[in-house]
Amino acid sequence: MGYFEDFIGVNLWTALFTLLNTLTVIIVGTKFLFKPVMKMIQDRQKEIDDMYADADAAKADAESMQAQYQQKLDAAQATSDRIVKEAVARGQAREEEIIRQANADASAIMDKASADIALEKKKALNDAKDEISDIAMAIAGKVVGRELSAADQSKLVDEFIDGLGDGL
Amino acid sequence: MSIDVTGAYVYFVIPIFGGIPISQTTVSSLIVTIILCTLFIVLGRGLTKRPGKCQVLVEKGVTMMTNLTASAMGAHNVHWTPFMGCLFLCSICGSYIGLTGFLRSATADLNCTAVWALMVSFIIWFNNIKNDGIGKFLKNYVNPMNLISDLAQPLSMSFRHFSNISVGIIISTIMYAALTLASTIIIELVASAGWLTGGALIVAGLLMLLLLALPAKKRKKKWLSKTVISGVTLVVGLFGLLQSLNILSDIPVFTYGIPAVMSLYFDFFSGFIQALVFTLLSMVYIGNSLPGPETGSEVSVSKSN
Repeated sequence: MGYFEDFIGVNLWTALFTLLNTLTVIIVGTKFLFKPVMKMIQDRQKEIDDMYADADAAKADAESMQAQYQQKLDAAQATSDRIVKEAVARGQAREEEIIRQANADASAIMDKASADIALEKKKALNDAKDEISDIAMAIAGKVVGRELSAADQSKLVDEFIDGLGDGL
Repeated sequence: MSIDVTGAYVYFVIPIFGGIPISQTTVSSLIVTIILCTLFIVLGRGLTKRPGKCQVLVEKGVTMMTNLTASAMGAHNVHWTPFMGCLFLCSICGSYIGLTGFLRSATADLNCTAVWALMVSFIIWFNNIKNDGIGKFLKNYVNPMNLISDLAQPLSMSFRHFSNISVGIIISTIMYAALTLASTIIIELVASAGWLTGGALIVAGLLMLLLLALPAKKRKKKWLSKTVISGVTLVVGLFGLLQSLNILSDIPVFTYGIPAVMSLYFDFFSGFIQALVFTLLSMVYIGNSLPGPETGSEVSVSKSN
């Protein structure tokens, strides 16, 4: 029943069947394997690209935020430094003020004290003068036997005392 | 002894339309189609973004084909990958189906490769008409050299593929015949020289093998060829002895092993190379007939690469 074909021969039916088979393979392969697989690969590639882009964006974001925070931190540091410096300056000024005030007070007290002393001294001197003049009057009265007028008396004593000079 | 070189065997003829012959090529290509379609449908199902082992392999194959297409046709023509991949698979499976032994390689039939080559040519002609218009396309053939070159292209492609595969079959056939003849002659020679010759050959072969197996201080040179020679001596002696004692006769011992090495080249290697060459040539020819890359479409395509 069967027979062998020629080694090199044309058989249109074989050619037709081969064509149909090949077309079937191409259609089925394209539809069921190549298209879905290529799409899957492309999708995955896209997803990976997106993920990398997201990660890069997040990284850039974080870096900018870090720079921002660093800037803020630096600003805060500068502010605190300034505040401390100001406080120190104020404290120093206050200290100087207080010392100056204290010095002024002390010298005022000293002045007043010296004035008081001088006054007291003068007063004491006057008292002493009066005392001495009274004593002298009394002595003189006893000696002279008469009372001198108060004005004469006073004048006399003063002259006496002045005559004593500063040696008193 | 005679060797017949024939085409495909026609199993039967369907008696309609003036008789449709169902040849080995038809059956082989039908089986290839069924296998490939089943594989496509099974492998193309349940694709996930996180692939399993099977999907990784499939994707690797598709990516290789995509890269091949992109390098041969340009990145803007990667949508031709499915066509080229299917052509490649049809070709390589059509060649490898001959390895089953009871089926003939579909590509060892000129009708098969000629159809593929003509398919490629028709695509090229269609593209040329689409690009240049029918008038310019026909005017191109005023120069007969263009006509000859366009006809020679499918002719050379189909004959290259067909002859490479079918010559593999012919050489296998000749190899078997020649080795059978050689083994018959040599064993007959030993047998006719009497059983002593066979015995002496066996002893010689065994001695050589023993010497090779003994541990030697210096590195053994050419141990493979020495082993083969002693083995052949042993086998020839053994079968010569058996034949001279009328126990066995006419066993083609040389056809064992040696044709497998030839088959490795002529069936495996040649089948792969011819499928690759056919696909690459198709890519180059079709790629040339297509318009060049457009700046707009290139951007969208280059991403997939």
